[in-house]
Amino acid sequence: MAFIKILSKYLKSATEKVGVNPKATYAVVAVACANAIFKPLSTMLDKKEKPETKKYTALREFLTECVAVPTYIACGQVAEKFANTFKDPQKAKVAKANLNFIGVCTAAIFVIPALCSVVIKPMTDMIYHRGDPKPQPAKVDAKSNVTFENQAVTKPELMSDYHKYSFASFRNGGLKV
Amino acid sequence: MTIGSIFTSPAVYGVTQNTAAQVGIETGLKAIGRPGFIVLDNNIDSQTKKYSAMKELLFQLTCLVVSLGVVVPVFKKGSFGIARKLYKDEAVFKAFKTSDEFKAYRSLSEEQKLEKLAEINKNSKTDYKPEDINEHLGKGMIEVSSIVGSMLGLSALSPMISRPFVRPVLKLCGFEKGEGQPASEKEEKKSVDTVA
Repeated sequence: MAFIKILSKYLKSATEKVGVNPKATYAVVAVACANAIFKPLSTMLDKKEKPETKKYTALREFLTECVAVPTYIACGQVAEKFANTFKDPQKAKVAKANLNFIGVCTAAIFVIPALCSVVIKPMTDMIYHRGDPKPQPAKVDAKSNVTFENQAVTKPELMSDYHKYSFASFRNGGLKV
Repeated sequence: MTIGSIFTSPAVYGVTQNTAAQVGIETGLKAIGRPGFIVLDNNIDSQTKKYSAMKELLFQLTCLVVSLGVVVPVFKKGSFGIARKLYKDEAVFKAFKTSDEFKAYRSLSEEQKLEKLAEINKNSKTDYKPEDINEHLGKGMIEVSSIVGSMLGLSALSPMISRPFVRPVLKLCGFEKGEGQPASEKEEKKSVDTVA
């Protein structure tokens, strides 16, 4: 009972804080955290898919949300800073809330897809290739000057369809499908 | 209207103080933005682009409708009932039976609030004063219930509902998978799910 009382006390102060200033960041971060749990879970519960594919998809989904949470917070905070340019305190208060919302929307539409295009693929590669043998440097036949590429690097079958994305490719081509 | 006036607009401020509106607008923007990104991609054939963009649009719209149309209102309605059990001594949850009653009270002027409280006191034989009503807690409870509703609606329920619904609708609209489409539906899904 004591635990519930302490919990409800903290919950009360948190609820009051949300009531005073319901920032857009709170809602989107909460939804992203729920996505990080439920999306991979529902993927892993899919019985029709291969286990390897399920693991890879769930990992991508989880990493995406891991990128999204700090991005939402950072974009909201950065946007809020511009409210200091307003001298009138009342206008500054309104601008702070509005800019936080605009920052979060910008993160959702532009920043997170861009970051995911750059970050997710190397991260999944790193996790998937942790136990793989390191590729040997290319051997050069001195006589014929022919370079033989080492074929030791193996990718999981399902990953072979993915292209390595860079920010430049995102900028030029948009979100890859 | 300048950009600066948008930043200080009371109308925009009204929207940003409502969690359900925040989540709705953000999801709506995603529903436009994500298919837009897919259409911008030059490395896939047009048929695949159309299919993926339409699928993403339908998925986001389903999420929006299920979450804001069903889940959030249910949570909002139940919020004061739960709060009454959690905070038994709080006058705000005793004086107002539903969140709508509290919202109506909150929008009143100071004089009107006094009149409303006098009416409540007369009906329920209580003696509430305006300072007894913790408006921040009441407002916070509404917003927290909206956040919890959005979490469950957008993350847990909507994907389950939309998956069996989206594919037949796409077929009905005449959208078929293009040649460049990944072999399995799951591969297609994982490529589309790269954004939060």
